[in-house]
Amino acid sequence: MRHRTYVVLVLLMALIAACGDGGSTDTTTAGATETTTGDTAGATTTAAGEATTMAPEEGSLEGVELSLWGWSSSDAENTALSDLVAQFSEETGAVAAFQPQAEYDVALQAALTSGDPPDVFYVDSFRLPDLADAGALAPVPEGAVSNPDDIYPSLREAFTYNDTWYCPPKDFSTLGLVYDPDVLEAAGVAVPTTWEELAAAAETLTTGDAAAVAGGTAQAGLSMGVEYPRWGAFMFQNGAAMTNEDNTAMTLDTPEAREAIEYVAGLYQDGYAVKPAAVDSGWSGEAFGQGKVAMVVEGNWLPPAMAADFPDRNFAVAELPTGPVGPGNFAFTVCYGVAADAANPEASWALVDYLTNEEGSLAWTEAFSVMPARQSVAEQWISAHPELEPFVAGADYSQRWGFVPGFGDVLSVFNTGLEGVVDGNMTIDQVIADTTAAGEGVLGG
Amino acid sequence: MTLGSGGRVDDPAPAVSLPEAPPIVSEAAPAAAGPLKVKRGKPIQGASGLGWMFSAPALIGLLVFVAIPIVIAAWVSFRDWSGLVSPFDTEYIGFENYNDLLFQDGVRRTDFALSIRNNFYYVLFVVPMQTTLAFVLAVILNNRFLKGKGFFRTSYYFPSITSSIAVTLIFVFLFQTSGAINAILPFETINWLDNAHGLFHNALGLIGVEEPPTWMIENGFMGVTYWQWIAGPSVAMFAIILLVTWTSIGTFMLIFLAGLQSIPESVEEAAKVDGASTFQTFWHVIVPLMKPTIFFVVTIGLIATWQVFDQIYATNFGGPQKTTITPAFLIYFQSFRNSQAALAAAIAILLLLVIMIFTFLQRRLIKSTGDV
Amino acid sequence: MVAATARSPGEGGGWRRFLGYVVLIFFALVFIFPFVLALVSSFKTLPDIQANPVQLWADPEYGGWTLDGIRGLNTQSVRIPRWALNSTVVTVIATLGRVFLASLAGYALAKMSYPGKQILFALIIVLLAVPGVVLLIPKFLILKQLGLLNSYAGLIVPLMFDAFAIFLMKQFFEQLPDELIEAAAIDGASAWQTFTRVMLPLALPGLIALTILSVQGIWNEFLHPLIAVPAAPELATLPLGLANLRASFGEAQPWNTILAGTLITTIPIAIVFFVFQRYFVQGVAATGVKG
Repeated sequence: MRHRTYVVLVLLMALIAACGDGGSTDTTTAGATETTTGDTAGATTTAAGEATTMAPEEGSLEGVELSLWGWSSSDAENTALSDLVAQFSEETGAVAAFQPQAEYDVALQAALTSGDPPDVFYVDSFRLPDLADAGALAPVPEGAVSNPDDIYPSLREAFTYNDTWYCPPKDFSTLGLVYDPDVLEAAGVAVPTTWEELAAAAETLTTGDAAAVAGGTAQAGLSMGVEYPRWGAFMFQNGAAMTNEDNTAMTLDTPEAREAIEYVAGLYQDGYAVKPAAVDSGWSGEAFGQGKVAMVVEGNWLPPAMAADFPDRNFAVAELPTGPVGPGNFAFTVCYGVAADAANPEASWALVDYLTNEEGSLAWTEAFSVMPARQSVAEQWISAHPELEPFVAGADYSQRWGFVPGFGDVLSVFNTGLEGVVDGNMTIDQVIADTTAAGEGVLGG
Repeated sequence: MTLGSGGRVDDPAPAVSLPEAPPIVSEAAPAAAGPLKVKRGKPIQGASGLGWMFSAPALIGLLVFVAIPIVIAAWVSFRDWSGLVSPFDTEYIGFENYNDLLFQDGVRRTDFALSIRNNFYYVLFVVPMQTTLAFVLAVILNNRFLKGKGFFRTSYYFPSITSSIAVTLIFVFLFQTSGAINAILPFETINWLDNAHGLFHNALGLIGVEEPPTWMIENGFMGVTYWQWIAGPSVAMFAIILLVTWTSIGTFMLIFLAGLQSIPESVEEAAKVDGASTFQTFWHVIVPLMKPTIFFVVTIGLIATWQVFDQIYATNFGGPQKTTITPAFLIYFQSFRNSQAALAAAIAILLLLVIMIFTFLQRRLIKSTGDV
Repeated sequence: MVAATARSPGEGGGWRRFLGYVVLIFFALVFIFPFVLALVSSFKTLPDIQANPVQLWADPEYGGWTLDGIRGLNTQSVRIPRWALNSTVVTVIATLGRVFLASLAGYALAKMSYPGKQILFALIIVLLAVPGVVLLIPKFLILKQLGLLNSYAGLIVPLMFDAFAIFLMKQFFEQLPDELIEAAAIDGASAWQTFTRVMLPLALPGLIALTILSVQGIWNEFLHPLIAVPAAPELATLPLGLANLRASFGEAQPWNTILAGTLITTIPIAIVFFVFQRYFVQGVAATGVKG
């Protein structure tokens, strides 16, 4: 038996050696073919050196194939983006297509691993450091994105890593307090604007425990995910933050952070706030749509979800309550990244610019509830969505959603800890200590 | 659920009856006359090239899709590879990934330790439950005088033929807070799927141990406190345990039935004549005779339960509070959700070693128990 | 004789057999009821499901019976008909391939003698124990190298190679007497003719058992499609599509649709099961393992 195993192993080793060679050869060949594709090959823009005019001439990209990957959102949004991309194809002659992916992370990773990435793809600001660090993204070439100063600086910064700007934002979202105006009115509750008012409103609007809420016989005041991208906003409102400005040190172990966590945790412990999962919902928006809760803290993605799944549900949006120190919010944003080894960088950036310039960003956001990343079209967007103005207001005091490569591990410790606090099997001190230790491991190392 | 390993299949002769031999051989070969002869390795015919021609297609496929991937996994586990670039563009970093998983204090080791803990409790519950229930049901079904045997056998086996994802979704539906399980059970409503409380912690709570002893929360192993190690499966994990037990009983019941049917009736009769009660016959005659099959089922169960993935993916995706992450799930998560593909490969290699050890022990022990 | 033995099992009286039936019926309910409930709930409205989770009929107060769940099965993002087509194509082709390849190799291993056979068999035994999840990451690289990623071929071809299937066929062929081959040779049959005309027909029960187990295993396969077609949602199979249906964030969970989807996944395999039940049972019983 031992003898046989040994022979098998030797056989395998020999084979893998052969395979390894095959791999690198193939990569090189692929690269070589790519550079000779189409008449644009010569203009390969490397780094931010020469300024190239990126605005495509009519028909200049004739026949160039471009793939744009994103995660699948609502059918309406998928269709709208496809239409916009089709329009680009029509104007430039390129053959571009938007391909929404059901399992986006897996799909993208498979593509990057195998050296065959899509030309353009969504990058969440939180994922940017990992992707940039891995060298998967091309930096924005000089002049490739029109009028970059028009983009909100905080959003540009969200896609800047190690002083390199990687991609222009597609749009952005902030958090708001979404509530049912009828329910609040019936209960004589004014829209809360401070922590105290929020706690009082949640208490008044709660009519039963989570089990009753799940069964549809009672209502909870507030539903909110137990995770940093929600609770963090309350930390900001109390002058606290996870890390310092330049992500070099953990700042979670402060009285301000502890107080913010205690406040939010208290809402759950008293039964006035519920985790969506505790009431059989996949997310807070679903719990709200089903009428299980009166208020939720969600972002610009909520209105279309309501329209699609719960068209009869009445709702209104307010700014998040102000904390003891001031207002605080997150800016969630996604950009169009161009793959470092995109087959046709020039055409790829042309598509990105088409989708994110003044015209493109307004065309994209006007029909939807996400906000344009350009200041010059903000007014037009608000006039199209007056009821969503509180989300825009949130932009003034929002902080970016992103850290350094590998920080996902730290947030998972924090989120797991927060769940423990809400479930009553962890203390806030433990969570802060565990998260700080994990964070120091990532930031320090 | 996929029972990933074949193991050795020396069970009592498969209950397959040979059909009538076609005419072409029936005259020439005295097939029916002699007992079936089984010879291994006897040169039968043709040149040796023929054997390779017959086995080469399958061999090549197995090498390409199973053997080589293992070697690749082993190779990348020694590299600094996030999964976001081609692995050929990465650096060799020695045992760093293994070090992060086993020795280096940090989130990676803690997560790995939690996955081991969760899977250990999962195995601890699933294997005895599925083996015992499958055995008991098989024994009852083996009663010669029972009516409707086919119906019962079919209904027990039915969940095992279905897609693991489909049955998991049905279970999630049943175990929701507002779902059928809570409606049927006469207790207070239980939050099953989003409940991170450990069963052992809950049990300790019932006997009055509310607060853990200080040393148990101040000390730990691999970044997990002793108090957390002894938590038991979380309620959410327990729901998955019930699901998997429910799904796999049918398969194991069939294996037990095949084993029971090979026990000659005379053995049982003899015990009865000797004045043994039904229980005595069961315990002192049937169970010892069934030992090899029981052993087979337990080891197959051990091997399969250390690979649980589908059910985790489709219920809670590792949550709540990481109480349902398992090594197999962690491989997926670290690689595809956390850009730590090389670390995931290292977990895969460690998991492979564990399963290989189980398989090896199984084969050794089956040989030594002298199974048929 | 029959009358005499019929009394013997229940020395303790009829109550013991009664107890046996109670246990059996209880478990039959435990195993079957979830499917019945899923079937009924597919035709209920969502509020009805929430309010009456165990009720086996639709409550008129909540809208009574409805086809909403079924309608949800074919939308832009939920494409059950397409996934079912993919599952069918993959299952049929991969099963045929697997059975064919395994028969060839199993026959060679059982009845032929050639250098390296022992090593080959040892390799198959080792590979038997490899869990699929271990291969998750490197399989990408292989599929990519072969240009099979995100294609039907990538979904199908790797599933054709299964160490267990080869092992199983070897076991079946080993039971056939060598004299048959010798006799065929005397009759002047070539090796190929002996294989196809003599041995394969004799191994038919084994072939059917393997086919059934393969159909079941491939139809239900989740891990392989998860990595083989990550960027081709149109190639998703039923288990993959279903799993993502629930996992997709930001969408409500229409349980009537999800349950209808699980039933559509279950029904074809259930039909195969009922038709070929005998072989299913034989296959599992004979091998102790299902594919």
